[in-house]
Amino acid sequence: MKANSATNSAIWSSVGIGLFFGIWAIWPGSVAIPSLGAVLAEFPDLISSGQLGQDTLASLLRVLAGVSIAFIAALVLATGAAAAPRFRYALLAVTELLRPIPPIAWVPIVIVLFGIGDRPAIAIVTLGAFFPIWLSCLQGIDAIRQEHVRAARSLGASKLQEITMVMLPTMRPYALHGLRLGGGLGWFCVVAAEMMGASSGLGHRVQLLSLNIQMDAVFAYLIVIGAIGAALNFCLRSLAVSIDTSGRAYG
Amino acid sequence: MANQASQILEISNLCYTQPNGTVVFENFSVTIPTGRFVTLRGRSGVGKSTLLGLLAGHFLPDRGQLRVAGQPVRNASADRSMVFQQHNLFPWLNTLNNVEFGLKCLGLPKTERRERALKLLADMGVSDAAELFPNELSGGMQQRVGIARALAVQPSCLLMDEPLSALDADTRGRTLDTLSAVIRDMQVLVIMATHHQEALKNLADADLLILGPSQNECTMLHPSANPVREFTGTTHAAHSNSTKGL
Repeated sequence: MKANSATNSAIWSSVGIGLFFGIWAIWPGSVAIPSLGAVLAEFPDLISSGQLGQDTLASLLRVLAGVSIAFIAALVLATGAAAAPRFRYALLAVTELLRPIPPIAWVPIVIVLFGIGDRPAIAIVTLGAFFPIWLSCLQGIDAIRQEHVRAARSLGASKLQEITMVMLPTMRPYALHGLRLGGGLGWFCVVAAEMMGASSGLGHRVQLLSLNIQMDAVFAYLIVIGAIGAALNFCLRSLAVSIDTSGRAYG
Repeated sequence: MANQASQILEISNLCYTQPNGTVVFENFSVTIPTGRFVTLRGRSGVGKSTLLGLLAGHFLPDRGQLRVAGQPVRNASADRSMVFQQHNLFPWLNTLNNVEFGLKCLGLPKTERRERALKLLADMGVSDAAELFPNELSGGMQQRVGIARALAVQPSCLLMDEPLSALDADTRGRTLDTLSAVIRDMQVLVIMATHHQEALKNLADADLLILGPSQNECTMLHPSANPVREFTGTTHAAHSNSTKGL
């Protein structure tokens, strides 16, 4: 039954993708939305010139940097919040205030702060990735059971061991779930940030190409952005599942 | 007060009010001079779990003092480990790592930890479960692992809060047999809250401390089954949050 549904989902995923590109293939092409053939024809040049590879690498490195900073920051704050509930409430109030601001809205500020280049884009990715990771970690804090903490104390755990041996393992699956959400949002943000204040990267290139109305190439880049985002999500999900099942699924 | 060290359990002028305002103990005192097993009985809500939590150091009394095996209770400690009503194993650790948890806290080297944990799992009859996770174990096995985990740290006192109540009668009997066999050879004082009659048969030389019928009252029975002493503290009649009989 399980294998069956996995096969089913694989088949129907392929059907969906096939239909999407099939319909696009029939499309004769216009200035705004070029035909599939014209878009695919862009790839050999983009790849052989190395331009696509460089842009992709620049964006990926920014996402990696930004999401890593966000993950570490969220984990440090969450550890503090788990150990001291007061700290948690104080942070939660600030979170609710800052979270509704779209990460892109910070672009003017980070450009003034950091200028043009890697750092503003990394800062935007960090902002975008931080909130989903942090909110997941907060859920992880809620999952910490007082009974487990008591059991640990009665087994000789120090305050530090309570945190590292009870609180963090409880929060781990939630933090990984947050990492997956944050990774997706980080990718989302890097492209947007690069369109506004970077001199390299996929977003920057899309911006340049669209100013020259090279829509065939713009669409080729959009396909790459979508594909990498999907691949990133798949990798992070696999990572979360494999780490999680090292303690086997519980709940 | 004389010869304190030899008294296994000494509670003096204990006052404890729950965070929700329920007064559980008010100037409650009792002393059990000798013995190795104490079973706590009494109707639900009379304060058995609270008393165990106080003895464990999970809660602090408002006033008064508790001494276990001569040592005053100031905070939670591996010297007074606990077996919970619901197994309360750590779900992210397998059986072996659960049992090793306390030994890791105490800083034992890995080989020694493993050796001691495996020995206890064998004693409790759950060697086969070493690599399994808590949610893969039956209720009886979970409780056996919980007991192994609490004994691993070699406490001078083992506190057990209704460890058998979640088990069916058959499993309960077998778990109890194993438990009595394992602790027979250990230098450990066992304080167990239970409402199961058979617990007393297995632990034939157990002291019996019955809390109630009212708040702050208790009766102590020695193995001879004659009431040796009856103690009544300040009765706090205003409180009755349970109507369930014994």
